[in-house]
Amino acid sequence: MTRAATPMLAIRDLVVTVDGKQILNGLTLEVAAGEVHAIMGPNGSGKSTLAHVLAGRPGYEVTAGSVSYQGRDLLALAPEERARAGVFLGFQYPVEIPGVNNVYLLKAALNAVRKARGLPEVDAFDFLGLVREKMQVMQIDESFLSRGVNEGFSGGEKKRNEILQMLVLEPRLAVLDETDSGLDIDALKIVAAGVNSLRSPERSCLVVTHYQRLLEYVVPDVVHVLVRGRIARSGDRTLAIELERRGYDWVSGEAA
Amino acid sequence: MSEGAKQLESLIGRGYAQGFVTEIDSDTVAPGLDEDVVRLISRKKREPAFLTEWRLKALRHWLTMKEPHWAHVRFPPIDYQAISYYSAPRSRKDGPKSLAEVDPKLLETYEKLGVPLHERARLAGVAVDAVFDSVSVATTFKERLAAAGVVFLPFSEAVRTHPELIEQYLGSVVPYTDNFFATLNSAVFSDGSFVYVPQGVRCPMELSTYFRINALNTGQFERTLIIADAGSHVSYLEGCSAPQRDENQLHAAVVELIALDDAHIKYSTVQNWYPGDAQGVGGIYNFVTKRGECRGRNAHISWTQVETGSAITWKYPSCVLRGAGSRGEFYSVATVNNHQQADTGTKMIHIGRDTRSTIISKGISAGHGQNTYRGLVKMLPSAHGARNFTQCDSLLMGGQCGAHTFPYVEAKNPTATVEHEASTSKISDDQLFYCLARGICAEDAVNLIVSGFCKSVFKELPMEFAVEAQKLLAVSLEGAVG
Amino acid sequence: MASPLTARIAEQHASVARTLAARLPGAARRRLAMETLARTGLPGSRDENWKYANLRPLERASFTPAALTPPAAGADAAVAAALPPRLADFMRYVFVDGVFAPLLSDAPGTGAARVTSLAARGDAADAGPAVPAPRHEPGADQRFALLNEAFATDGAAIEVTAAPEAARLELLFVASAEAQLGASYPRVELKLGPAGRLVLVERHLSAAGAASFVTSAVSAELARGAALDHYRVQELSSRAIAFDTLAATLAQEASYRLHAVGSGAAACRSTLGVRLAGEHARVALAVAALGDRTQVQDAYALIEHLAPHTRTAQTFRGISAARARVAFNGKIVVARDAHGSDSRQSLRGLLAGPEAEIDVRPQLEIYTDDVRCSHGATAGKLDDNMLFYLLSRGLERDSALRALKWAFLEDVIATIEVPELRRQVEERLAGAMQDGAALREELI
Repeated sequence: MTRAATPMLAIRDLVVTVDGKQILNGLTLEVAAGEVHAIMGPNGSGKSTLAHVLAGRPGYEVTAGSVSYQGRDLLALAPEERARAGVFLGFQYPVEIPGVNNVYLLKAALNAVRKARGLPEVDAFDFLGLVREKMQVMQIDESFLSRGVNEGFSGGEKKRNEILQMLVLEPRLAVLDETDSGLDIDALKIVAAGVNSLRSPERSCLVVTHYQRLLEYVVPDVVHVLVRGRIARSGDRTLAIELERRGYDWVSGEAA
Repeated sequence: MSEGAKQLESLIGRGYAQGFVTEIDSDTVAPGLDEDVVRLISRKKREPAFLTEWRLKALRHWLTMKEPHWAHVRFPPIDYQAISYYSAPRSRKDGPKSLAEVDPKLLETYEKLGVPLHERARLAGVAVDAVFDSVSVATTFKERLAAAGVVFLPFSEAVRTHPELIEQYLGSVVPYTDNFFATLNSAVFSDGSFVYVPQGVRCPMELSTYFRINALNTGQFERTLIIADAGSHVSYLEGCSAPQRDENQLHAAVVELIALDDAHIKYSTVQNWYPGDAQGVGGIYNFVTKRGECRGRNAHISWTQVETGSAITWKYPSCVLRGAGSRGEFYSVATVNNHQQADTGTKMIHIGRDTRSTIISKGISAGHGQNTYRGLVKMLPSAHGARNFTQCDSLLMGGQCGAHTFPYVEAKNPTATVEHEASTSKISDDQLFYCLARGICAEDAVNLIVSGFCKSVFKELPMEFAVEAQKLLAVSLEGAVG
Repeated sequence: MASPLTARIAEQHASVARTLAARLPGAARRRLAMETLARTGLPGSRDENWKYANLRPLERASFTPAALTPPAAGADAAVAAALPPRLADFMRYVFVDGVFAPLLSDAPGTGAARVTSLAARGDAADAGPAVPAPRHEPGADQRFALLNEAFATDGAAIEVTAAPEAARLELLFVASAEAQLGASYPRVELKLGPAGRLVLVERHLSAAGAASFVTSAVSAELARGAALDHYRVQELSSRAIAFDTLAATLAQEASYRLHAVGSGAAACRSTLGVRLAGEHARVALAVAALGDRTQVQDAYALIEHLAPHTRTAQTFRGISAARARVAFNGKIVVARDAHGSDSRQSLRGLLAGPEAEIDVRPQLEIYTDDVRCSHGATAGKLDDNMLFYLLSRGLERDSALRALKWAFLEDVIATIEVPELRRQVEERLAGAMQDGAALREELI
C-alpha cells in the first residue's frame, strides 16, 4: 500500500475533557486516504467522544494535541465548515427535528457542500432523482421525504437515514459512531452495503463500534482498540475477532 | 357497611396520633398585639436593642398590610387580636442548663411523639432542638457539635451568644417587609433554631428541630436561621405536631437559609400539624415563609418536604440562586384529605450564570381536600446558561377533591432554559387491578401505588424521616378509598 | 370606586350616547354595559391575569368610536390597499373601524350562513337585544368585551344552519383611525345551529400603518353537533394597540377549533374563554405569537370543562425577539361534573433576542378525579442538539437557526387547512422573521 504524502486524518496526542473530566488522554491515530479504520473499545473508553470531537460538537474541550484533516487544522473549523470540507459524522443517536423535513435538510446540506466545492446548486429535478436512487439503496420508503427529520423514526430507520445522508453528501471522511447499534441483521446488511458503496481510494472511513459484527460486512484495513482514552492496540481484521473471543478485559488488562 | 369499610372508619377515627395535650403550667401572655406586647416578648428574651427595634419596625409595617387572599385556599377571617403571641412552660426561670433540668412532663411529651431528647437514645446520629409552644426546651448534642465548631442553638440563646451573626443575617433573605405572615413573624417570633456551620466544616450529624404547639389560643411563630459558611455542609430536619383541638391555630414561621461559596444546605420537613377532623373542624393554619439564598459560587440548597398535616398549608420554600453555578432543589409531597387545603410550591429565582434548579412536586388529593401546586421559575437577564426542570404530578382519589397546578415561567435570558411538565390523573384502574390480582388488598395496593408515586421525593429524605414520612402518608390517606 | 381611566371612559360614553342611539338601537344594553364597566373598571397590571399585558397605551387612547368621526381624505384608498387577496370559495365581508363597508363586501348571503350587519339589523323593527346581558364572571374576564359592547356601532351577526357543505366566511376588520381620535370596536356575534358548520376567517389589519386602538369582541354559541373552524389572524400595524375578547359556549358534541396567529400591533392582548357545556364537546386551540422590537403579545385562555367527556387540546408557540415580550396564560378548569374529561396543553416559548422575555403559565384547576390532564411548558433557546445536527450537515448557522424557528411554529401553522390562507400567513411570518422570505421558498 502506498501512502499519500498527506494522510486523510492525522490525530496527534489528543487530550479532550468533557464537563471537566478528561476522556481522551493523548490519542494518536493516522488514517490514509482510501482506508477504513475501525475503532473498538469498551463502554466509556472515549469512542463517541472521539467521533464528536472530529465533528466539532460544543462542550468537548481539546486541551492538548492536534487534528489535521487533509493537511488542514480541523480543530480550527466550525462544525458546518468541517461538514462542507467533507467530514461526515453518522450519529449514534440522531436527533429528531419535527417540523424540518428530510428533503429540506438533504437539499440544504447538499447545496452547502457543493457550494464549498465550487459546484452550482443542484437542480430540483436532478436532486430528487439522486435522493430516490440513494433511498433505494438504503431501502427507505418514499413517504420519508415529506416527514420531519428523524421524526418518529425507529432506531433502525434513523441509522439508515444517517447513511442515506452520507450517500447524498459523498464525504471524504466518514465517521460512523456506533451506526450498528440497535440494528437487526437485515438492517445491518443494508447499512453495510451503503457504506461499502462509498468506498473508494479518495475516501476514508472511521467506524466506531462496540462489536465486531459490523466488521464482517464492512471489512476494515486497520482495527484500533481504545482503552481509557488512548489507542491500546492496533492490528488488522483479526484483532477484532480476537477481541470478540477474549473480551475487552484482555486488552484493558494489558493496557493497565 | 362491610367489615372492611368499618375497619376503615375506625382507622380514620384513630387518624391523628399526636393529638394529645400536655398538662403543664404555662406563662402565657394575654391575647392581643401592640408595641407593648412586642417589647414584652423582646424583654422576656433579654434581646439586644437592635432586635427590639427590628421587631417594632416589622410590627409598624405589618399594621399597614392586608391579609393576602390570592392563594387557592379559603378560611374565615383571623382575629389577630384574639391570639396570644407568647406562651412558655413555666417550669423554670431561665433555660435549662441540661436535660436534667427539663420538666419531666416535657420529656415525656417528646418521648410520646417519638422524639427522644435523651442523648443516649437510639437516634444517635441526630441532634435535636425541641421547641414547645414559644420556646426551645432542650437541645441535644451541644458539646459534640461545639467540638466541630458547629453552632446549633435555640434562636433566643443565639441572640445572646452570637448577636453579630444574627444582626448580619437575620432578615437578609426574608426581609421584615416580605409578606403579611413573615412580617407578623418578624414582630413576634418567639424561638426557633439557629445554625452556623463554619468554613469547610461538614456537620458531623443531622440537625433536627421538633416543633410542638400545646397551649390553647396561641400562635406559634418560630424563626429559623441557618448559615453555611464557605465549603460547609449541613443537613437539617424539621418535624412538628399539635394537639387535636376544635379551634384553628395559627403557625406563621420563617426560615432563612444562607449558603456561601460551595456550601450545601439540605433542609427536610415532615409537617404533621393537626389537620382538623373529618368535618374540617379545627386544625392548624400553617402559613410559612421559607427561603434560601445561594449567595456564593456553586452553593447548593435543597428543600424536601412532606406535608401531610395542617388544615391549611400556605408555603413556598424557595431559592434565590445568586452565586454563579449554584443549585436549588425542591422536592415535595403534599397530601390533603377530608377538608384540608394546601397551596404550596416553590420559587426558583435564577440570578447567577449557570445556575440550576430542579422541582419535583407530587400532590395527592382525597376526600374534600384541595391541593394546589404554585411555582415560579424566573430567569433574570443575568442568568446566562441557567436551567430549570420541573415535574409536577397530581393524583386524585375520589370525585370530591381538587388538584390544581399553577406554574409561572418567566424567562428573560435567551441562553436559559425552563422545562415544566405536569400531569393529573386518578390512580390507574389497571395498576390497582394488577395489585388486586396479585392478592394485595385495596388499601395496601393504594398505599403501594401512592408510595411509588412519591418515591422520587422520599428518596431525598434522610433514612429515619423517609420511614416516618411513608407511615404518615398512609395514615393521612386512610379512608380515601373504599 | 372609579379609576380616572374608567371615569374618562364613562364621560366619553355619556357624550356620544345620543349620537350612538341615532345610529343603532340597543341604547339600554350599551348603557348597562357601561354601568357594569364603571363598577368593575378595566383591568390593571396588578391583576393576576393581566400582569404581562401592556395596559399603558390605554392612558392615551380615546374611547369614542372612530366611526363617529369623519374619515380622513384618501382613507378609502388606504383601506382598499390593505386588503389581502381573496380566498377561493369564501364570502368576504369588510368592516372599517368596526363599521360594515358594503362596497368592499359581498352581498349578505342567503345560504346556510346568514350574515347581518348589526347596524342594519337594528333598523329592522323588533330585532330584540342582540346579545344576552353582559356577563361578568371571575374566570372569563369580560371587561374589554364590556368596553366593546358599550361603544360598538356595528358588527357582524352570523347565523349558521346545518348544510351539506360547511359555510365559508371571511371577515376583515381594517383599522384606519389614529388612537387619539377614536377607537375601533369590531364585533362578531356568532350562532351555529344544530349540526351547523362554519369555516370562519377573522382577520385584523391596519390601513396605511395607522396607530389605531382596536377593542374587538367575538361571541360564539355552538349548538349540538355544530362545528366551527375559526382562523384568527392579527396583523395590525406595528403602532396599533389591540385588546380582544372571545367567548364561546359549546353544547353537546360541538367542536370548536381556533387557530390564531398574531404578529402585529405594538401591544396586543387576547382574552379567550371557552365553555364546554355539553357532553363530548371539544375544543382545539392552536395559538402562535411573534414578538419583535418592543412588542408585547399577551394571551389568556380559559377553558372550562363543565360537562362529562369533554376534551381540550391546547398548543401555544411563541417567539420573542429583540426586546419583545410574549406571554401565554392557559387555564383549564375541570368542574366536578365533568368526569371523563381530557385535556392536553403544550406551551412553548422561544427566546430569540438578548433582551426578549417569555412568560408561560399552563394552569390546571381540577375538581374531579376521573380526568386525564397534562401540560408541558418550556421557555428557552433553540435545542443545541438540533442545531449541531444541522451544522454537522453543512448548513449555515443562520439558515439552521431559521429552519429551527420555522419548525418551532410548525405545530400551529400546520393546523391551517385553508391553503391560500396558510400561504398568506406564512408569508407574513417569514417577513416578520428576519430574512425569512428566502427561507420560506426553500422550505415549501
